[in-house]
Amino acid sequence: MTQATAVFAVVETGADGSTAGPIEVPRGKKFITKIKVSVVPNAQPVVTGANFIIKLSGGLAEGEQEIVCYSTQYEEGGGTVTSTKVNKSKPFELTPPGGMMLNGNDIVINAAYVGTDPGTPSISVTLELS
Amino acid sequence: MTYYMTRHDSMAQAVNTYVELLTGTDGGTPGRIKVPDGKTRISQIISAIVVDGGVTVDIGSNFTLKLSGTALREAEQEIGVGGIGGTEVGTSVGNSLESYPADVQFVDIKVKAGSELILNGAYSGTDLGTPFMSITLGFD
Repeated sequence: MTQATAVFAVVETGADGSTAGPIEVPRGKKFITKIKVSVVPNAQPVVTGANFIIKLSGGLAEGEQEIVCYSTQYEEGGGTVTSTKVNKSKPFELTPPGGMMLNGNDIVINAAYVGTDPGTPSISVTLELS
Repeated sequence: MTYYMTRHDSMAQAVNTYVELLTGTDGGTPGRIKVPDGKTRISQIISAIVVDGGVTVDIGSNFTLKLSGTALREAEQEIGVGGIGGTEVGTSVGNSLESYPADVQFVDIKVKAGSELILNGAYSGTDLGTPFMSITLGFD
């Protein structure tokens, strides 16, 4: 996510690095029944905090919707030190109680962050379709 | 069917003071949430909180979301949505990196479709900088 704060960018890269595009809904699938999101800082982060949001559009029967999904917070002390830190985080998991009804069109995923630009975060989104 | 709506706000106010969450993800001001047609309850509250900048150390704050407005079939309600604390020992030369998923609370708050819902956020404890609160409500 190289965009500025409060700006949505489309999430369309495949796990193999290719441009997979929007998600084509498989035949017979009527609902999004689970959403998983993971966010990591993919470069030296900036001292700040940011909340992350995904926007789903195109394929939803009730129209586009935004969901808060993640936070990152990076802080430094006043001095300078050489250090290494590993941050392993679990994914955000959301199960819509009533499901999110699909309309047969491709699902477009966008992502944004609010707060202050934290650097270059990387986001992964998984949708479970039933 | 579950329908999600989101609001944010930069919490520049003092401790123990509510501020209304009116900001959209794009930085615009979409205003208060109007309960979508056909929806009768809030089924999920999804929350994310960070400090937008450097954290004041050796203090902590707990955050509360208040729901009010004509959309609520019962009285206004306050819901805890998490806390943030910072600490420092000696001369600080280290760093801290946290990334964590938003919190999902399953609730059953009855609402009226087409009516207005007001979201306010506050924190208790001590002012730790400029927190940023993001809230998504799931309607069924």
